[in-house]
Amino acid sequence: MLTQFLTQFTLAAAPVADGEAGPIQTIVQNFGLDSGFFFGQVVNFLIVAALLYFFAFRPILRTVNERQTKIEDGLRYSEEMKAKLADAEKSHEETLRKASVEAQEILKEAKAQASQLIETKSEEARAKAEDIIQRGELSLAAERKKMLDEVQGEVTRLVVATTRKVLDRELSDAEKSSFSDRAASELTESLR
Amino acid sequence: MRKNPRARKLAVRLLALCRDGEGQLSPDRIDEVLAALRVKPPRNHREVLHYLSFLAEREIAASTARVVSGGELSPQTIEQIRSRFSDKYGRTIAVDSRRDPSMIAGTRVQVGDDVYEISIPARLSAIAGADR
Repeated sequence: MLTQFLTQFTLAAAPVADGEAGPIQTIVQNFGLDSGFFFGQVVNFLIVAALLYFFAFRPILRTVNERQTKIEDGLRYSEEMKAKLADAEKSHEETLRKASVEAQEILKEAKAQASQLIETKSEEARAKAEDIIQRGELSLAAERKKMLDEVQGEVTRLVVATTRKVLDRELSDAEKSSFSDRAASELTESLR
Repeated sequence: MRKNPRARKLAVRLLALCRDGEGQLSPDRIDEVLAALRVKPPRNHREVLHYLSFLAEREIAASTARVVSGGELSPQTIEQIRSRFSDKYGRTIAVDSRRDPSMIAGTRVQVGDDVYEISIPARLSAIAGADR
C-alpha cells in the first residue's frame, strides 16, 4: 500500500513536459508544501504509528483476543454445562421415572401380598372360630346329654322306689300270694 | 386251700357211702360215716372233712330248690315246682321255701348256680336298668 502510494506520488511528481509543472508540483506550489518538512512529518507519523501499533494497538488487540477467547471458552463451557445440565436433568428425570415405576410396582406387589395375607389370616381365623364353635357345640351337647341322663336316671330311681313302696303298701297279703303263685306257675311253665 | 388229690379222692368215696339206696344223701348214713371217722380218723382228716363238707353242700344245693317268695305259696304251687324242676334236672329236687317281705310279690327259685325269678323287684330293676 505504501509502495503503491509512493509510485503514484513519484508519477505525479514527475514533469509532464519541459517548462510545465505536473499536478503534484501544482498542488505543492498552490498549498505551499515544503517537501523536506512534509517528509519529516511523514517519517514522524510513521514512527508514531509504528509505536502506537507495537505498544498500544497490538497489546490491546491481544488483550481483546484473549478476552474474546475467554468469552468464547466461557460460552462454550456454558453451552457444555447447559448440555450437561440438560443431560443431567434428563438422566434425573429418567431415574425418577424408573424409581416411580419401581415404586409403583413395589406398592402394587405389597398391596397384593397384603391382600393375600389378609385373606389367608381371615380364612385361618374363620376356620379357628368354626372349630371353636363346633367343639363348644359338641361339649354343650355332651353336657346336656349327661345332664338329661342323670335327671332321667334320678327320675327312674325315684319312680321305681315310689312304685315299690306303693305296691308294698297297697297290695294285700292275698294279692301278694296270688301274684307269687302266678309267678311260680310262669317259672315252671317256662321250664318246658 | 392247697389241693390234695388223695384227700379229695377219699372224700368222694366217703360221700358215696353217705347215699341211701335211692342215691340220695341220708342223714343216718352221714352220721355213721362221721362216727367211723371219729373212731379212726385218717392222717389228713381235716382236709378230708373239708372236701366232704364242700361236696355235700354242692350236692345238696344242686338237689334243692331254694324258693323265696313275696307272698305265701300254696302247697300245689310248691309241689308243681318240685316236680317240674325234678323233671328238668333229671333228679329228685327238694324244695326249701321261705317268705321274704322285701320281695313284695313274686317268686325266685335257685337250684345250684341257676336262678329263676319273676318278681316285682326284678321287674323294677329291669326297668331301671333298661332306662340307663
